[in-house]
Order: sequence, then C-alpha cells, then structure tokens
Amino acid sequence: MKKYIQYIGVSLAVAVAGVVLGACEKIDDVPPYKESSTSKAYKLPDPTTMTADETAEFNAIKAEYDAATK
Amino acid sequence: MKIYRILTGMAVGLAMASCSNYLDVKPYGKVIPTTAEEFSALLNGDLDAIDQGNTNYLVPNFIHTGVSLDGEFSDNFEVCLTSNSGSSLNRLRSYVGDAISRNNTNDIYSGLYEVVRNCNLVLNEMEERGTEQADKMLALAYGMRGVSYYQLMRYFCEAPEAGNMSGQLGLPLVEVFDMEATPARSTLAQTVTFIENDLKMALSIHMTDGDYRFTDDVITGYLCRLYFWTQQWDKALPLAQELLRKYPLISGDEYVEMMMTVGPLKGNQMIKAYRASTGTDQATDGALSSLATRPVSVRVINCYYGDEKNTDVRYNLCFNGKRQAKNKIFCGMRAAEFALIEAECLYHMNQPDEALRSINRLRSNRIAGYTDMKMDEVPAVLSSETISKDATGAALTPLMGLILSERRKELFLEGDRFFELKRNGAPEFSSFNNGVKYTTRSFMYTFPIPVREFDITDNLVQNPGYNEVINI
Repeated sequence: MKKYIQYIGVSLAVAVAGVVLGACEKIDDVPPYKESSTSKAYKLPDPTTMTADETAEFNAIKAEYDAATK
Repeated sequence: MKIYRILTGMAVGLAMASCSNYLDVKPYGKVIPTTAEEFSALLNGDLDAIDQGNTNYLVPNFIHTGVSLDGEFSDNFEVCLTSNSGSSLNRLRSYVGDAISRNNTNDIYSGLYEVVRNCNLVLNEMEERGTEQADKMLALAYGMRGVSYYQLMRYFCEAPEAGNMSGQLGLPLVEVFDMEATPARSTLAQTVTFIENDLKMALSIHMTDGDYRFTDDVITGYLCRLYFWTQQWDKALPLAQELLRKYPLISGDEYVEMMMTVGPLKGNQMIKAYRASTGTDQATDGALSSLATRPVSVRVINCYYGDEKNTDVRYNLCFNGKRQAKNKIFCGMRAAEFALIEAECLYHMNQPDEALRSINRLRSNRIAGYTDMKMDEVPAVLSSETISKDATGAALTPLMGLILSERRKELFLEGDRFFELKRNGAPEFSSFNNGVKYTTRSFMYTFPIPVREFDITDNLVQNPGYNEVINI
C-alpha cells in the first residue's frame, strides 16, 4: 500500500513539474538582438567642392559685405 | 502522512508560481500619483523648463530658435562670411544637413513624445474629476499634448498640401499611456484633426490661471497657428483678429522695451521662454556671441526699403554696423505674428486691399513717420528672395512678397524663417564654407524619424529622402 502511494506521489510530482515547466513558454527567451541605433544616422548627399562660378559668387558676397561695413 | 506533506508542499509551490509578480515591490522613494495635485508634478517640470529656457521643444529656447533655426538652418545669415574665431564649442553648423546627419534632430522627437506621455498619464490615469485643480490639469494636459503634436508635425511631417492631406504622412498618434504601444503613422489629415481636437478640448475646459502658462489665449494662438499652417485661412483669420483685439500692436520705445526684456511677459507677449530669468542669462549671452561670428545676410538687409534702415525701429534693434545680430531675444508668441497671419489670410481669401491695410497697420507701428503704401507702390519681389512660390504653390506677387518680407523682419531671430521656407515651397538653396558648398535640399526641411524608432516599431514609414542608414 505504502509503495502504491509512493508511486502515486512520484507520478503526481512528475505531472505537476511537467505542467509547471510546460507553462513557461520559451523559458530561454531573450529579447531579439538588434544592433544599437545610437551610432546610426541617415546618409545625406555629400557637400561638393566649390566651382569657379561659386568661388566668384562667394567673392562677390564678401566684397559687398566688406564695402557695406567698412 | 508523508504524502500529505508532499502534496501540501506542491500545492504551495504551485500557488506561488502562479503569482507571476509576487516579489514585485513598489520602487523605493517613488510616489504613484493619485490626486490632481500629485499629477500636476508630471507637467510642472515641462512648464519650469520653459520658464528656465531649458527646452528645445515645447516653447523652444533661443539656442534653438535664434542660433539653430535662424542662424544655421535658414537663409537669414551668410554662412560664407562666418568667422572661425572663438571656441570650437560655439562654432556654428553650415546648414541643416549637419544637424540631421549627426542625429541632432532626434532629441526634438523624443523630447516632445515625453511631453505627450506625461499628458497621457494625466488624461487617462487621473481619477480625480470635477474639482478646480483637476480641471486645470485636464486643460493643461490637452493643451500641452496638442502643442507637442503641433510642433512634431512641423518638424517631422511635410508641409501640408491643401486638399491632399489624407495622402500625406502624419505622426504616430499616441493617446493613452501604454509601454507596449507601437502605433504606425497616421495621415496628415488625421494628425491635424487630432491636434485640433486637443486644443478645442483645452479651450472647452477654460484655463485662465496664468501660472500654468497655456491659458485660453495661448491655446487660441496655437489653434490659429495650426489653421494657418494647414492653409485653413477662413478659420485662422477670425482667431488672429480676436487675439489682435485683446493684444493690440505697440510701437516705439514700448516695442523696443518689450523685445529687449528677458524675463517676465511684456507688452503683447502671450507666452515665452526665460520667464524665470532676471534679465541676464549666460546661455543667451553665449548664443548671441556665437551668432556674432556669422553676419546677417544682405537678403535680410534688402527687406528694408529706401530709408527704412534709419526709420524702422527693427533695424537698429536687430543689427549693428557689422550686420551682427544683437539685442533681440524672444522665444514664444506675441501679437505681431497674428497681424502677419491676418494679412496673409486676407491675401489668400482674395481681399488684397484689406491685406495691404493690415500690413500698413503693422508697418506704421514700426517705421517712424510712416505713410501708408498704396497698391501701386508695393515694390517688386526682391531678386534676392529665396522663396519664389507661396504656400499654395502660386508664384509670388509683389503683395505676397511684401507680406513675407515683413514677416522676415518682424520675426527675425524667433525661429520663424526656417518654417517659412518650408511652408512656401521648400526652396533649395546653397551656402559656402571653407571652399565647400552645402545645399539644403527640399526634403531636409522635414526631419527623419529617428533610426531607433524603427527598432521598436515594425510598420513605421520614413519620410522621403532618407533611404540609407550609415554608421557615424
């Protein structure tokens, strides 16, 4: 009789453990890995080197400013 | 007997395992707000940041409006004449692209959504209702949430196209506090309606306590700004006129004193940053020093017609002989903006004579000995003007050019010009610095949704122009 009760006890323990562990869905779950975004940004068109016309435009702006504020 | 002990032990184990948070404790030293007064602490921090001039977002400070928006992002200053003297800490950026490519625009997004989060907590979690304090908190939360979304819309959504706002991208709209929520972007039309509803809800509760800053008049001003930004001229006009009746234009010394006062509200100012300042502020002094390294553009100087450099009070107020910006530190909302809104609404509502009368009224408050300009005396659009189309996409007429020119002078250093460029066709323009040409492209007027937002929200859509992510 005693042995019979022990079998029931062990079976019950195994069943309960199965239920408890089974209830923990994805027990090893970790957050999905994503690379940090703090060092990422959107690429913009690169600035360009000034052409001769643009240099002339810059010189005109500077000359106007110098003349107006001297 | 032993079996009963085993079974009892297992039952206790199961019972404890089923309490998923059974070891949870309230964080030490934290108060979970329950009363309206306790909830007010969530919003008071943002109000204090405005008063201290510590925020770039809700009512932005001078470092954002004067230095970033006007001095670096707009065409009000001459980048190629920037002097490289001074500390590298104060060195000005060459164009708006420098801010975007360094992720400097991300804080605007997160900062404003933090205000939205706090407002949502008040609106959804505060159980106290019907008391005076609770009503104030509700009005404040609706008002601040509406203003936050309005600011987010101007930075992160394209300029509205009348009749096409249902096809344009709006903002992710978060209206309840939920840590798990990852809403997709709404349409621009939905965003505008959401902001309008929030501002109207705030007005329906009536905030008259000036201690909370976002009073009925201020919220009316933001509603007017919203209608104006979205080209709802017939709705913006009566609100602008209502505010002008309450806050009349002032002139002469009274105007100069108002514009030079850092601290309490003066004249017809309605809300402003730095109200807690006693008049001297290291941050604003430092910002003016930075701006002094970059002269104001001749494009702004040209807006003063004929002898107006001597007679217009704004010229001497804003510039010195070296065309360096000076004196004027105002970040907020004041009556003159509504005079300009009135004039432009009348123009777009096909009432040009009334529009000119409105502009003449403003000019007569700024120019000594002014005689009204007649329609045939309105000067041609300046050849140096970057804007060539108005908000509706039509070519600039002389009258529209005059309205924009007055706006540029009146709201100089107040962070307005960048948004005026965006609202009026988003024109591309270039600036030079150290042998390099920087071009502000049309898409750059609309900032990118931060890269990190795409880590947590799968269905987010980025603004046009931002296609490639790189490491920086």
